[in-house]
Amino acid sequence: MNTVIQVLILGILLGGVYALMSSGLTILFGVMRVVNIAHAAVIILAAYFTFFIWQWTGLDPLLISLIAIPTFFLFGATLYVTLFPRLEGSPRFAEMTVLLTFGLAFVLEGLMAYFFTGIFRQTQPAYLTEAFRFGPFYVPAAQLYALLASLVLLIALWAFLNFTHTGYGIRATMQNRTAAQIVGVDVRRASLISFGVGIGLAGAAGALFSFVFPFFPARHWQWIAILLSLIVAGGLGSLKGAVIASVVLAIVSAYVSQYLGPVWAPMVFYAALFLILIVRPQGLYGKVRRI
Amino acid sequence: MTDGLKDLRSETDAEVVDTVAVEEALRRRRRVRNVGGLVILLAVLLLPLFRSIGAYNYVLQVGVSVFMWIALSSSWNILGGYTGYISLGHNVFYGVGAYFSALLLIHFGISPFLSAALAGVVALCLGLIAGLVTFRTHGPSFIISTIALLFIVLLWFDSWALTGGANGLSLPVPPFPREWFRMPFYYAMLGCAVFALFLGHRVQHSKFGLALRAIGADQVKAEVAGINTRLFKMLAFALSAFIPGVVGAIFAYSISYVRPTVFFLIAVGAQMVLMAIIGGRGTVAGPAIGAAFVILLNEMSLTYLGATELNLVFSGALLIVVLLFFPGGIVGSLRERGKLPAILDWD
Amino acid sequence: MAILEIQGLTAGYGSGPDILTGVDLEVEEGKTYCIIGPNGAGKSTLLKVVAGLLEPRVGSVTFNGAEIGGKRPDIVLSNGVCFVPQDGSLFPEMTVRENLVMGAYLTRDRAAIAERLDEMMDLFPILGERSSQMAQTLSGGEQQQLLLARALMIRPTMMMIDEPSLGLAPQIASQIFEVIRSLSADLGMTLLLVEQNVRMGLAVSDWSFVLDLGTKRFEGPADTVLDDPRIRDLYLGKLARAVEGPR
Repeated sequence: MNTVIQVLILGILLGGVYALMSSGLTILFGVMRVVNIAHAAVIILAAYFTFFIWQWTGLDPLLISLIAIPTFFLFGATLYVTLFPRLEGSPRFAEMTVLLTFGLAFVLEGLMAYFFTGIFRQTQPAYLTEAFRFGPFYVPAAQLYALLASLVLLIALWAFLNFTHTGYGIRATMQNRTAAQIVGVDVRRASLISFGVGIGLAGAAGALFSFVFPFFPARHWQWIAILLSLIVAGGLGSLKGAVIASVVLAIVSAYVSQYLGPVWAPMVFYAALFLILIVRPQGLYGKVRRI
Repeated sequence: MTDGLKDLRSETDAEVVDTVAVEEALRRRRRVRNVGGLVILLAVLLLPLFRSIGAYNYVLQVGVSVFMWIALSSSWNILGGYTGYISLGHNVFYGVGAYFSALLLIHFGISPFLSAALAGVVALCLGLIAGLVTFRTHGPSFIISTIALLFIVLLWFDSWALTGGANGLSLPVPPFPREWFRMPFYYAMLGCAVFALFLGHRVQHSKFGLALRAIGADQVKAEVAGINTRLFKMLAFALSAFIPGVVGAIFAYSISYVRPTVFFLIAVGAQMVLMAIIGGRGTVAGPAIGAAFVILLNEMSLTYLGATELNLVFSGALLIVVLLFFPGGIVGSLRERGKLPAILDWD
Repeated sequence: MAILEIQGLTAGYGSGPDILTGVDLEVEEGKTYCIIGPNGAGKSTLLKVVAGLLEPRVGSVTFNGAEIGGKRPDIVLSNGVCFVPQDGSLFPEMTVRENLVMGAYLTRDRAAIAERLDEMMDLFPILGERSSQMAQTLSGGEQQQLLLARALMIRPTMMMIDEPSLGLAPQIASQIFEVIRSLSADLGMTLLLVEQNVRMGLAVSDWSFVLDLGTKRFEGPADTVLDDPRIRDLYLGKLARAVEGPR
């Protein structure tokens, strides 16, 4: 029984980070219909960003995330302005973004592999080897801090979307782009900011990633497959769906890892995707769109 | 009155003459194209007989590679180019065919040259089963589901004892005399490439292809017009899975091993997509010219840049540039500007 | 006093053909105009261009002296022109109240927004009743009222409504038209309507523009435009002429 609860704890801890990683991805789709296949590559880029700053300055990765967020916000805004305007108005916009970001993922991976080589990296703050004990259970400090940081960021995101003027505009754009336009939302600005936010979240996720998981450039493929499965299962564009799917599936994969072996843990996400497609193709909270 | 009629008649005569001229030009163009195609086919067929060319083995090797990728990207094009349903995990069929045939060889001694067609059928069946689930979505969800399928198979084969796990399986070396070692593979792949191009041509110029393109243009309207979109999508998917299975079986035999990282890496599927898009989606010659172009580029970058990581950057950047500035690919862009050479005009 | 002037307007979608092929018209302040014409005439497209959802290829659109052609929808809105499109443009996952508040997105004055919210609840009592319900749970007629109320939140100078009665049962439709009529009568609003239900649309209008093949064929007072013989030609086209013979 103790093992069962212990695994549950580990699953929840992991779920928070997954939720942070997938939230950025689903916002990009919800607001702009962009499927960012390069999202995990950006997360790993942010992990390298964090790693090198940590190596040179000794700053704690959690603090570095505060630098990463605005940096990657700007990076995201730049990417948006450079890559997507030409595609706008294309009837197959969403699919085009898939191909475009697919290419971007290769560019980022290649650059990272060339400059940073394929050695496994991981930032190693002091708390990496610490753990808190609650009776018979232990809670790894690194994962706990990552979860708390993710919660803070997700709550900040939620507050932004529900209590700020710009946030309202972004939510409106997510629900009905034309309607948003006619009530006066500058949807281009909303899209730009959303893209920045989405990539900024990836930046924060990367900072956390840097000490929770060891990483190297080619790793992003495994992660993007998981993240994409998560957002489809939760419903493309639904923040609520992404968070719930992340936590639930992280817990399930923790159990699979414990009882069937860690190799099989990723399978949970892919299997969940196919299951959802059979049972409810639009995902948990997705909109049923006319084909 | 008579004058008016005369004017009318001379106008019509002019029109008729124009139409005749246009038709004649088209016929000439087609003749040039067909002759050109025949010449290329002949050259490619006879090439292995010229043992005296320098780097003979290398040339045949490149030939095997080019033909294989022509077959792969042309097959991808049947689904991705016409219906617009983009499969980013398409190499899953390539790998499944390879492993199937490899296992038959190892356990029953059946030559992949004989089992290749069966491997294709197995891949086709996988396509049908997968399609049952994946076609419940469309657009980006579909693409994501193809990626998930690839990863499921990758993970599975990586851990399965039967398939040798991450180390894969070693295949017995083909019993061909050393000097003629590459020739059977050369001709087998050439056959596959020709078949794939033929299939692509048939799809382009058939009602089936028309239905696929209707689905690609507007699925709702196609459905309303009476096209059984579900059936046609499944057929396209299955068709596009067959040749990769065949080709995978032959390729595995040519390198004498199967390993997950050779067949199931997403970069392999990406290559197929890249070639079809660079060459021109939804055209017959597009994937072929795209394959040749990308392989040429790869060889050049290997020679001059050496390091393979920058290769990735290059491929990715190329894809981005083509998508943003040349969405029709080589064939599409040339056609738009009216400069498409006859040899590439098979649509 | 012409509040809206459209000159030589040509527009189309994407890289497709011109839908509007040169439209010239003038709208006077305070009056209600009904745009009628056969399918494909470009009526909705015309409204979309004025609203800023589509860019003109040739021509100009001037409102109150300011050039609004080709400007973004939010700029057009800030000039006082609002648009109620044909297809559902509610925010489905927001409540009635939140939808209305979104209507006043360009206003930052909380007090003003609260005041207008009350006004709308008075004008449209049913919205007051349903104010905390999700917009997508409302009936067709209620949704249309919500759309009109939302558009009014910004106190526009001119309102453009595309097919107000679309998909509504006749009694509900006439209720909506009653509301539209009072917008003009009580609030002095300038209204531009596109309406397939020609009789209902003309009944609440002062003037009518008749569009076909992307250009204005003719115009006239709403109560007599249907008697114009050119109308028959337009709607029945060649068939009528074939049956009746050359005039």
